[in-house]
Amino acid sequence: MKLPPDHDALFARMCDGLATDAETAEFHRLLRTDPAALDAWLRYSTLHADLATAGVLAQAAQPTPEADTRAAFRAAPRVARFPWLPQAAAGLLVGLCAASLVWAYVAPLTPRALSLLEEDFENAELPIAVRAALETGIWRGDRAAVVGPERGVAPAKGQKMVRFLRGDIAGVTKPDGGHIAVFYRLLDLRPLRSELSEGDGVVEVSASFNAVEFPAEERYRCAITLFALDSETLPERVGRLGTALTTDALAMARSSPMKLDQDPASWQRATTELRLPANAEFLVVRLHVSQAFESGDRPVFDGAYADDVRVSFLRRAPLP
Amino acid sequence: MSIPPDRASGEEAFLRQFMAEERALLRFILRYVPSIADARDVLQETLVTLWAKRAEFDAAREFLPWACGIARFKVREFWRKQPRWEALAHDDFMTLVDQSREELAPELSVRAEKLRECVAKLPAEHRATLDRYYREDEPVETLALREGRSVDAIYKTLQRVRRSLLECIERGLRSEGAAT
Repeated sequence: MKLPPDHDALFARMCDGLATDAETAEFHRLLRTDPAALDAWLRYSTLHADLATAGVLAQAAQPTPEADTRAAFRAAPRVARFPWLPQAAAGLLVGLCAASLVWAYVAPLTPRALSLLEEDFENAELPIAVRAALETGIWRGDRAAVVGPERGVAPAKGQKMVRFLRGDIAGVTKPDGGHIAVFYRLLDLRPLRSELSEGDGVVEVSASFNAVEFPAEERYRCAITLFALDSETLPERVGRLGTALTTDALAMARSSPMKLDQDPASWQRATTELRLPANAEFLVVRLHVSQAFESGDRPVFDGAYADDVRVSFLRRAPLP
Repeated sequence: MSIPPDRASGEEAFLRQFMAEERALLRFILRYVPSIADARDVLQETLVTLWAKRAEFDAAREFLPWACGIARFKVREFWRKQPRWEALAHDDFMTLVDQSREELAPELSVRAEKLRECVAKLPAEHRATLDRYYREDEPVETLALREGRSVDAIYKTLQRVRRSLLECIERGLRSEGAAT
């Protein structure tokens, strides 16, 4: 059977979420009745999926001067039905939360997202300690250092960035023998309680990662993990956070693990989002770098960096 | 609260598997839900269920097949709840896709390799557009604003670039005599 001449446009509209009801019906009819169309669709949709998930673009990515500004420019995807938060809630949050929590639009675009955190480590507290109380407004976790430009790595934003030093908390050996270095930021969501109660609250988090040139046999991956907690499940100390998160968290999400490249000049941006349960009271943002190679008992991270962490809150209706 | 070591290590194993396979899971969902935005919604729903069922996860089993089973259920749920997709929830469309994919699997594997070469050959501006759309999940509206073009023009560009990649792959297959 000969394919209709406009099948390519139809496939594109399906992939981009633009197809009308009539086009979707035609798409279904075509695939059910025409084996050639089905094969063509499988080739097209596999290419689409490869672009979205197989890392071919990451491998081909070229650093551009504007890369650092992308997150600031980025608006939340697919946000709709956004009843804006009342001014009173904004004032309450400013009063309750740390100075680094800021209220601002991520970008002068619609739809709009509410910025909960913009961290460039210009004034981050040191040290990022393990045996400390878990509290909002500061970073906690494995040993790390806030540094300026060094070893060919310039901060993604501002004059400072954070450098991973050791995997102390995680401390665990991965199945392939590598270690993980992590640090956490706790955000208080209680001022957003009324917005969260409707079940359509979503947080989006992004962060930039980088590494110095490392031996070819070593591989590092970076990612962001988000956990929603309530007051009962929130541990008192950072050292207990790892276990508490994996056993008690109300919800969690993680960015796709991203392989760090060998180019100190290019930062790689990880993003993820989490739909917040209505009873969520706290959000833990966990940044981590892992060794994807056999590293024995040396949890040392000599040249991995993070910078420009952004957390935004938005409202998006769940699936019908 | 004290967590029994066995339980803690089991859940840690679950978490690691879950983290490692998230991208594969999205890829699986995209087989049946082509819109990336919709597929990510289904993924999110899948992850919620996986997390809720983490206690049922048997570390001796392979994680991905188990997760894909739940994702498959979520895809059907998505189809049922979307009027335009509802028809698929009541026939053997999923089976049809699976069988056809199995037959095409060797070719699709070769195509994935060719795609890497073809992406590298794209003009920088087209690669940048794809990168922002697919890898950074940037909305088309934002892309349009950034590039000073209309939303429609961005969609047309995406369509053209995908078409050019398919043609490049076809040329590569033909040149190796591997085209079927």
